[in-house]
Amino acid sequence: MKKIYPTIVFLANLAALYMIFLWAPPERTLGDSYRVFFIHTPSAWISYLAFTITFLSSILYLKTRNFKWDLYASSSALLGLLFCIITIITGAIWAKVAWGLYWNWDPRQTTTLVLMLAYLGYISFRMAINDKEQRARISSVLGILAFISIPLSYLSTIIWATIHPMPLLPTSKLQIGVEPTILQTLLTSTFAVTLLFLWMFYITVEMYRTIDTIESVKMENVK
Amino acid sequence: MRISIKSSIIPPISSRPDVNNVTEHLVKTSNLSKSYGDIFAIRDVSIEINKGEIFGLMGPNGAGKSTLIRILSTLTRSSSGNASISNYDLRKDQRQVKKLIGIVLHHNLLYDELTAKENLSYYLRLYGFRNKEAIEQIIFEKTSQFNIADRVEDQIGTLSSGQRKRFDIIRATIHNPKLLLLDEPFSGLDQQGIDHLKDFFNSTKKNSTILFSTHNQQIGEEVSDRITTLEKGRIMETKNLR
Amino acid sequence: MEDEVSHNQVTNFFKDAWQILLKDLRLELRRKYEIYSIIILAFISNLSFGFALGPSNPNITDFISGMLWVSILFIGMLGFTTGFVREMDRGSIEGLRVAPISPQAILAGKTVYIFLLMCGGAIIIIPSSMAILNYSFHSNGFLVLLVIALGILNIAVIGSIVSALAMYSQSRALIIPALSMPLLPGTIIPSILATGKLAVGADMNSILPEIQINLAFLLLMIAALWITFEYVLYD
Repeated sequence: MKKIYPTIVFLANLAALYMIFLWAPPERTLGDSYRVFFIHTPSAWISYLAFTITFLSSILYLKTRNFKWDLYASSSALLGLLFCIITIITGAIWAKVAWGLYWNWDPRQTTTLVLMLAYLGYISFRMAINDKEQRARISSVLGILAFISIPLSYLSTIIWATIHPMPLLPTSKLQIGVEPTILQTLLTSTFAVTLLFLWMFYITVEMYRTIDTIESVKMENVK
Repeated sequence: MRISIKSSIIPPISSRPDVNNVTEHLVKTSNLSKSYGDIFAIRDVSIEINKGEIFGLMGPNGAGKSTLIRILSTLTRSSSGNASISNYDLRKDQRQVKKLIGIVLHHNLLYDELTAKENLSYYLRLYGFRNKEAIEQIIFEKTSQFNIADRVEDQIGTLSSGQRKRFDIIRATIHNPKLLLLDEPFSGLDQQGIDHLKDFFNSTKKNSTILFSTHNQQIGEEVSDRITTLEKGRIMETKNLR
Repeated sequence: MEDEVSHNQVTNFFKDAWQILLKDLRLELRRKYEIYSIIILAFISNLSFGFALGPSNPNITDFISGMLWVSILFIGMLGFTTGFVREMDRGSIEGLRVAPISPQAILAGKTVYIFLLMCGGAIIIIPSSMAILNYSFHSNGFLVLLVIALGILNIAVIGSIVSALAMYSQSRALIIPALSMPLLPGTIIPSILATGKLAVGADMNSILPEIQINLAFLLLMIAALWITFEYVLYD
């Protein structure tokens, strides 16, 4: 499976790229410029999935004190940050295309920004603790608290948005979700990106494991 | 000024457990290990400490003495193995264990801006003492025992290091712990300080069991009833000296 | 018997939290570092906003809430280090860790301490900014107090846990803002919104959604911290 999986990922993403750029028809109002949507939405899904993995792994680490869960939590957070940045950038491009503004404080846009801050805080915090056990334990607590605060940030920004409504622009009425081919493209790209994430997750975990092993060997040699 | 208080507030010495009855181990560890990654600070340490003993942990720097003391004080969690104090498991019954122990570390745990009395009163209240009169009585008795009652209203930051150390030891013993843990208590002391501490050990062992660490072989053997020598985290030997 | 034990546990929780709060207040009254810093920050903040917005700005009500909460937040950041970071720096955190008290009591004591520090800052900032910037709240004073107190309490809860997390890290002063940022929006946004509404005479019904979110935030955080804080404090 390990040998076949990268090929599957490659083929799935190739198929997704084909569908995104060649197969899916141009959108009625936006033409071809809407295609960034097919990269934005799957990235958003992955960034939230990754944070959920960090949250669940954090709980499991505290329960079991098995370092593999800490490894999963930190690996997921690193990848989640990457996909979060992709989400924000593609989201800004999409917002410009759809609404004429790169940033318009849409609740989802704002919440994704908060999520990115959570990732950055989590990763920078981990880099600031030398002791492995302390790092695992404390960042697990942070992973749990930060996850809980995300829905509240979303609710807060919804209320904020009712007071500060988004500008109404001619292109705001889109029929993205309705066209079957567009929906199929979206589902395919989401599936492909999920496979890609899982493969990257596996590689990241193995990378951290190897780094750990090298560090242990170094310490043994020093002794 | 002696404050008279009701005798029911502090239990008389006769009603306290007979610590000279050594049929039961106060401290028991079984294959206790602590690792940081692949490096073991202590490895498979099994010791039994009897009630009323002065037990010395000897060994060079890095032997694992401080780690063992920190584990027994619940400050550090062991990686494997078991430990109990007065039959309370160190992991499952942490709160009970904490009531039974007092600890003296390298650095004192007192607040410089507070007076000695405020510090001691604070710690007594954290250990469950609520009656103001009883607290004052205990502070008076303990500080008199250490000949330092006259400095009790001074801020800790204004005291000498020897005086701070004495108040820190008072802090650790003020709630009459069954087990007193001291990490390198003799380091940095002059001969007078060492003698005072030895006298303190001998007077305290009637009520508390003492576990202390030192890298000074001579002092360790002079003071202890039994010693265990650690090296690279493992027990090398255990000797009865009395 | 069981009722007695649980009653004792509850009583001990409050008594232990009170002791920790009292100790921190005593320390602060002796040192006065944070008190002076807060007073200075409060006046710098008011002066800065005064210069930026002008003495009789007709649109002042648009800026009041953001301005106040930015100031309160920076006061909070000053206070966060006094929670646990200071204990770690002194080494006295070990005294708390070996004491036979519940970790939640320690967190409660520290949180109330940070809350009181921030309230002290708010007491300076709010009236002085009203005088300098020439504005007032057109709503019921009780509602204003409620919104500000609830917002400050939420920030204090965040501050105490961030302080506890940061005490294990290097460069603590830098890590505190990084840790606070993802946790704050859920409470700071409703606080700013509610304060803005109160500045123009809103009643309880208008600010109910914001109050509800802040209460939900408080309860959720307390629940999460009740379970997780012992993992922060103990190995």
